[in-house]
Amino acid sequence: MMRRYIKLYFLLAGAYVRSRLQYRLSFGLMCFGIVVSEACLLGLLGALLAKFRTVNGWTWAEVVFLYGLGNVAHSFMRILGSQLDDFDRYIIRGELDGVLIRPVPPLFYLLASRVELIHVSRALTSVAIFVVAFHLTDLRWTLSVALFTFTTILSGGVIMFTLMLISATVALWTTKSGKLTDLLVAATKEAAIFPISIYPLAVRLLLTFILPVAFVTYYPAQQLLQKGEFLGMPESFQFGAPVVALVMVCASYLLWCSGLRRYHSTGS
Amino acid sequence: MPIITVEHLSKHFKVYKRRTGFWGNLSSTFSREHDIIKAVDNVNFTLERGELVGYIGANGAGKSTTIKMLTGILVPTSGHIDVMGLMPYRHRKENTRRIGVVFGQRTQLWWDLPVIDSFELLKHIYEIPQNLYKQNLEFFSELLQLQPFLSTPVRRLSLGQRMRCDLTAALLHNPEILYLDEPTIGLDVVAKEQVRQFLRQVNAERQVTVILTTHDLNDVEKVCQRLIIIDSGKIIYNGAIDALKKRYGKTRLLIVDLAQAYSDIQLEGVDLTRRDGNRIWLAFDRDTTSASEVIAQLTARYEIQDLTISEPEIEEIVRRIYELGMH
Ligand SMILES: Nc1ncnc2c1ncn2[C@@H]1O[C@H](COP(=O)(O)OP(=O)(O)OP(=O)(O)O)[C@@H](O)[C@H]1O
Ligand SMILES: [Mg+2]
Repeated sequence: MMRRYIKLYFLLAGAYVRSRLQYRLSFGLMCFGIVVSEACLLGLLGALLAKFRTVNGWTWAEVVFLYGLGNVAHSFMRILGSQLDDFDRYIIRGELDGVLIRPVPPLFYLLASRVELIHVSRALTSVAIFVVAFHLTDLRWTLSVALFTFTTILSGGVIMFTLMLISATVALWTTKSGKLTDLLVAATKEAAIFPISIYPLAVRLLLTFILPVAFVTYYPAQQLLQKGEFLGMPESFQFGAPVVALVMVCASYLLWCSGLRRYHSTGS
Repeated sequence: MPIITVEHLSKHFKVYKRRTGFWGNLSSTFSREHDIIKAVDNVNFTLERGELVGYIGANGAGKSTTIKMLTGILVPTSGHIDVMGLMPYRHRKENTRRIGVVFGQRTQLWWDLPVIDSFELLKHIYEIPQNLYKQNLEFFSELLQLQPFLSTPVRRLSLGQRMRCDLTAALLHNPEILYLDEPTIGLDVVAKEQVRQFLRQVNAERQVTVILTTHDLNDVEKVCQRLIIIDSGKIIYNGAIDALKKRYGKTRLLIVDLAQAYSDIQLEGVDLTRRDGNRIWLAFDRDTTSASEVIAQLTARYEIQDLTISEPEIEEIVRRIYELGMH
């Protein structure tokens, strides 16, 4: 069963990649663009921090570490969730019709049949940044650090993915969610880059309980960097990422299922 | 025991009103003002195993909506569908394994990949055993002459070639029912004939139950045994094609080219059904009115250039039903 789905995932994703590779030049240009834009962003961040030295008691290395952590989770989630990028257009064109006539769970089929290689190039860049950031801090690789980092990235990716899925699912009700998704993707990524202690209380609560991106970077980083900043939240939040991820998976899947029942297809 | 049973099936769409202009747009985003479109409205019918049924109706009559509910794509607003003992949208996965679907308007093949790649992918999606897959692929590529373009990307196929591939794709996993939504749309006469022939053969040799929608009545006449006509979401005819002809074929049609476009045309015992410039279409009942009476009336009042009498074709009968409804 599991093997069937893994095989099917690679077959469908492979079919998409092969389709895309028919247009090699545009793909090459996009990859180049991503590497350049990531480098610029990081350069900007570096320049800013070099000037101010610390942000709310966070050193330059620590902020880059946070940025790397969030970015790795985010970019892997983008690879797997490529289909959600412009999901509303997909729905408006009635293309879910073709998915719903296949004997495969629709969400699986959808996600498998689009894997943007552009996001892969983004992911590689982000891993490189993260590894550098890791060494800039005083952290050293031990088994427990590696395990914790891995779990954090995995949970973080899942949390960001479910947020994106939820906003895309809204398209099944409104038939448009593009702007909402874009906004959410941008906001979660940006919010994860900086220590949330720089935001006012209301925003911190929002990022903890409503759009729980604080669990992608900030709280887990407390454990890794031993900052001991909990801003009045329970200390156990530093281990909360997997739990939050699990809750988000359940919530977003239920929403997706009820959204599917509302799918209207198109009139022609 | 019917293979498909549809009872009191309805699908209503809420269509939110949209206003124009910035403020209109803004306010319609928040208001819940809407119209209800009854795309399918209390529909009942059954299909027996092995039947070949034509499902026709004017644009917007509700054909595609019905097909989408039968295939499990749309959830009905109310009513009941039983397909081989399954409820299509609830038992979606089991249902899809046993049906094949072709949308004439939209290919289900991988657009940028060679045709054969789509077939290979479907083999894995439907878990078709290798020997069955090979056997079916051989059978269909022979029957539909797919060989020459099996390794051509789908986007480079002609419409006719693409349709043949789509038909194959829908049948590779040996479905028991084949749903076709406008399978002949946009095809030329030869390609249409090929599709028809193919459907007859698949139905006869593989006992596949077929339901197809179309706007080409020749499809129905040459392929189907039974006809279901839907109009504004309601079924207005369900029965053999011959019976329809017998019942409504009493009307003959006289097509007349007048010397000029008379503004007011008055004739007894005759319906003016259509008018296009100087040409008029007159329908009359063969039992009560003779053709010579009509022609006599015409020539007495108007100057005519040419005329032809046509016996009722299925096309004409259905056109009249679309326009005037059933009587
Ligand atoms: N997703 C939708 N949202 C709103 N209205 C819809 C939707 N789908 C169909 N309709 C409406 O329902 C009615 C029936 O549409 P349907 O597509 O079933 O017609 P059809 O018989 O297939 O027509 P055609 O011959 O043009 O394909 C139409 O009035 C159409 O506008
Ligand atoms: Mg239609």
